[in-house]
Amino acid sequence: MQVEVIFSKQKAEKREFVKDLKPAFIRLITTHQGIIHKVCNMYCDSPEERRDLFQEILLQLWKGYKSYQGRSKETTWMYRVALNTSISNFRKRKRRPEEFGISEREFQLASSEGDPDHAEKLKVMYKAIGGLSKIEKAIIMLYLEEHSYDEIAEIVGITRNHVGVKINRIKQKLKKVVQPHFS
Amino acid sequence: MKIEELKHIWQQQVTLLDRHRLDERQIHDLLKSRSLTALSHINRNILIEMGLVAFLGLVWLYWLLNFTTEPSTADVVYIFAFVIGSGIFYYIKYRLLNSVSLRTSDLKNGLTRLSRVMKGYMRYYYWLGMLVLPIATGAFCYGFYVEMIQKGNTFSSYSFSQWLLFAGVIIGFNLAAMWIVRRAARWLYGRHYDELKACLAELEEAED
Repeated sequence: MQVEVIFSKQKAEKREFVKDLKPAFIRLITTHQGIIHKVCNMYCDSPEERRDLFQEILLQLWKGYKSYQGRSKETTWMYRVALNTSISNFRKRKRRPEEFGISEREFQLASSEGDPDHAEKLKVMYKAIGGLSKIEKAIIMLYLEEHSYDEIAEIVGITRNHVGVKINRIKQKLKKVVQPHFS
Repeated sequence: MKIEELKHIWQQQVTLLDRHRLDERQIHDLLKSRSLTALSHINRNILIEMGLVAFLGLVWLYWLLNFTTEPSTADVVYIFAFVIGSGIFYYIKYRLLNSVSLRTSDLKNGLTRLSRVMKGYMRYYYWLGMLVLPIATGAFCYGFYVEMIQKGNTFSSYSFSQWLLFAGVIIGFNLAAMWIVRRAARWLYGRHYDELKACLAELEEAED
């Protein structure tokens, strides 16, 4: 009987704990949702895939938030979960040629407001990034987001030197695609 | 072109992102949805398999109690041992599977653990199939032997070519089943496992 009381008390405490966490979590996501959108744009071609991945990352973040104890910066933690989820994501999907995916993104970019020159450059940049491997995409994204080599090493799980080597190689690859359009 | 220019372009994509911005209500609603990751798939498969084993156990028990002339205690114990044994097996598998966390580890560590789980899972399906094959073959041969005795035949009642045909059918069945099991194990998670391995190999390559 006493054991039952203890268990029900623990369950109630856990429910309260989760209930308290949810508003804070939703505030955190609302503030930093750009991180998830950028990761989704990086790894998905179609709006359906993006929506699914966004949802998946959100669920993984929520599951992890209960045990997240501020050991790293909130944004670093979000990047880590988002990239882990994107790279290991598994959905049975129809294979479609790469150009269809790009054109969908191109359509979005072309219709975005603002400087048309910027939209064009961003389109080229996405196209160049689209030719990279999943790991390279993760590294260059963190780099473009101004993360330090140490932070990138922490998120990806490789050494600082290895990050440097990877970034140099990626820069060379991007340069080949981007250079003719930018000059 | 300088990399700083790329950084600048990247950081200016606010307009594009703002078009997809979700409010608190939408985020709250999304949290109610179901996970689609490989681990969630396997978790759901485990639950389905557990349900199937329990259902088979019940059907087996029902058949034993209603359609056999003298059900022995040993038969009932055997069924319970099958269901409970399977339950323990699935529980261990479930715990091992859920020791992998995408939420706490870095990318390399997470990929290493996940690919290990996927490899183990594909092996499990393969060897389970391989285990079922000799049991099915043995049961078929035993059934043939019982029928042969019941008809009053002996081994010498059949010609050499008939035995050869029988052996050919058995071997052909086993080879075909082995191929199907291997294909099925690959079909389940093979492509995903290859992708994970490729990512991992990229992270583990030399720094030079």
